[in-house]
Amino acid sequence: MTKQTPLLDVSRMNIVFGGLRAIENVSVQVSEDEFIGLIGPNGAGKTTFFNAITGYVKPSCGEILFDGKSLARKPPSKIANCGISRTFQNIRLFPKMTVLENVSTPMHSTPKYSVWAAMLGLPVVKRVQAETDRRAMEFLEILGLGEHKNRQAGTLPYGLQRRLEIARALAASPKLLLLDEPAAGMNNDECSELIELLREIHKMFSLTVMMIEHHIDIVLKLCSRIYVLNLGQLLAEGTPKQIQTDPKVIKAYLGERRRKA
Amino acid sequence: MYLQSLAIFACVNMIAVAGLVLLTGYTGIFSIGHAGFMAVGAYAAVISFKYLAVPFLPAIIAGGFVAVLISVIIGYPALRSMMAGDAFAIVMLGFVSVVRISITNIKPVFNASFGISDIPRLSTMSVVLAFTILSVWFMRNFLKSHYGKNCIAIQQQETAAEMVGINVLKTKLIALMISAFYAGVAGGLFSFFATYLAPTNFSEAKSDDLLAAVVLGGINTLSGPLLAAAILVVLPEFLRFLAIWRLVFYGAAFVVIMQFKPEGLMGYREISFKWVGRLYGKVRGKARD
Amino acid sequence: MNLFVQQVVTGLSIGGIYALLAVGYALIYSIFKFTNFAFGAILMCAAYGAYFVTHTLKMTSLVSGLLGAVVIGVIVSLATELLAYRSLRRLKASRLFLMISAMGVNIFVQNLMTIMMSANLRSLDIKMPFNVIRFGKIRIGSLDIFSLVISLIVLGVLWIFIEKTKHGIAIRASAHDTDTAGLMGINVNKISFIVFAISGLTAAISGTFMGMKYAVYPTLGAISSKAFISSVIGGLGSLPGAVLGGFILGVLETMISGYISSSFRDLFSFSVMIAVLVFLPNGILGSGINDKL
Repeated sequence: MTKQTPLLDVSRMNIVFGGLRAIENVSVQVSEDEFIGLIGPNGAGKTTFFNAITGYVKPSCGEILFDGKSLARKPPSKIANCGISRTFQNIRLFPKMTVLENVSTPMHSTPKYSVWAAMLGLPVVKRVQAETDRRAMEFLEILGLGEHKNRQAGTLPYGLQRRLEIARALAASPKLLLLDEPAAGMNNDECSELIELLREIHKMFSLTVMMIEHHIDIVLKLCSRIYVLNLGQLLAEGTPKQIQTDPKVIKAYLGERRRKA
Repeated sequence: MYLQSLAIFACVNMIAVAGLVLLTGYTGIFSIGHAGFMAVGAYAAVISFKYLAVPFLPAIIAGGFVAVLISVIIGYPALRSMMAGDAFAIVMLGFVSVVRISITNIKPVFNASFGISDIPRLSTMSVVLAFTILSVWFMRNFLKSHYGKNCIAIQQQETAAEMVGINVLKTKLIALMISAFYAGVAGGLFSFFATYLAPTNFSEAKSDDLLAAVVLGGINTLSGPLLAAAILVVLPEFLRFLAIWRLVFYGAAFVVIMQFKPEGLMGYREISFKWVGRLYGKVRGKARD
Repeated sequence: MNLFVQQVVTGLSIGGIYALLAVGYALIYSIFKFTNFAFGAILMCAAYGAYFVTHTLKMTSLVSGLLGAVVIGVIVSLATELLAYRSLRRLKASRLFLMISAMGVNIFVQNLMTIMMSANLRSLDIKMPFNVIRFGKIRIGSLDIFSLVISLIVLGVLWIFIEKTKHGIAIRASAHDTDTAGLMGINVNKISFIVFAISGLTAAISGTFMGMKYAVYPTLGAISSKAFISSVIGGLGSLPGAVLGGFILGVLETMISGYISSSFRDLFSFSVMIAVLVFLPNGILGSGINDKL
């Protein structure tokens, strides 16, 4: 692990849902530029972990520091504006908006002009709007969605919808990107495309990425470090090599996978 | 004169509907009590005109602002709740009848159920038309701006909207305030045309009228509901038998439209505004005959 | 003091009716996560059912009146579910669309009844076994006692049904997570039938008592807003919350009518709801239900 202050520092976090401990004493440190994998069997609390970081559920105790600042009392929208973006396990695009509008939404989540200016249709509105569209277009081109910019997001094929969600998350110019099963429901070709894409994005935007993924080979190929959750507890942490050879992990997770495969 | 009053009713209806388009059609917040805001705006405008000697136009605007104030008092707590959509709908359902009952029981100034009469007819065709054009134009600009886009995002996928950084509560509150202002202004203009003001003027049926325009006209569109608002005022006048059955028809239409075309007749599309302009021209031309 | 006790008993009896209504509403809300605005229309139709049985068929016992109401209430409730909601749910339509559809049913039925039955008040002539009970100087009307006792019995039976039976467990599972319940082999359509039938039944019983207390008329359904308010006070989607909210609202309203003024009763209950939302945004017993990510 690197010695600099971590970008994301989760210490001893607990989350309780009506008596049920979904997350128990989990501590995670993520440094800048890392590509972290978060794996574990179903129901291990991976998505709940993401939900806690993005402010969607409140931890019952423990602390979440991002960039040295506590996220405890911040609502999801503030946390997003602090520089944490995410994608969702079940795609959550704005289905009736165009692809371009989907990507530009994070850029204007807090409009840069007043309500009055908007109502009067002042020139600044048009100017800001054109600028936003131009920047959104850049993201679309990078993710290879440029040709679809005027299509309704809901009409895109599944793979492109996943891609658009990543584009939308990037458009918020995050420091930390949380990907929740980006390869879910993808075939092998699509998976290798995704690996290339994520590798490129990671480099191009000098992002810190944390990814939940069930396709273990994607995790092994991309991630520099892996956390393994099981039943709400941290089971192991280490490089892909360490994880692959960790007997606890093999027992709880990888073994089960191998048997299936 | 008859056609003129019809045109004025249509215009007033369009102003209120324009407000409801923002709240229900764009932000996706169901409001079944918008007539309550019209009543508040109407009483505030008429009382400040008659008792506080405020001139006509400022009185109308004041009516709008009082409606905004009330909307925040009743709307903010509900919109904060986890079940915001339902809590707000329930609050608005109670709101219309509460406004009516309260006014009916206040004798001084409000004159209880007798209402206020002898209001000068200051809402002339030109005044109302100016208000309509301005408010529709403001609304169109707002909906096309980033604020409007944020509203659509909330309506489409609230969780994602919040996670990309939109302050959902604030955006909903802005939509509610603007919407209440429009309803308040519409209520004021209506009273200064009708020349009397009674608690029954703005009943549940009026809310149904407004909602019908938005549902029939479609969501995520401004021109659809505006057109519907005008048609729904004019149509029952020509087809008298429809007047009694109007609400029955609305109710059935709500269910049928939700089953087969939930986005409404003009959902996600706009009529070119030149066309609406021509319609205005026609209505105005007829009114002059 | 005597007056106070009498007010409390009257309040509890109204509270029982509200609680029953609120449970019928909250049951649907807890599973399908939308407000069934057609609830008022169902209640009103059921009250007309009781009127039909007691007036036209001349069967004036309380049992026959309630039976007539329940039959109509359940039929209308199931018809609404089949015609207005089921296909929308299958399409996973947004809550806004479900609410509009529900409001459509309410507007349609209410205005159709106004045209067909006229807006006249019709009294429900149901024979009671006795008129008043006296405890010293306290006099309590038989209607109050019957409505309270029957509401409590129905609430108790419902509680047993939901807590102890197989269908009840299925209902609770669906309320927790409809999609997963469907995957686990619970027939969600069957559950929806049971739930809408129960909801119709509670609306019918409350509607009959309301019709006896006041009269039967096409806008009687407006009383359903008390169920919604009770539910918001108790916590949307929570069944115990609905019962608690109903009793709180019933007692408070009776006190206000008795000691201050009955004309401000509705304003008062509305203000209580707003106050609860200010201090407890999710109601007294409500938990913040998140939509699953």
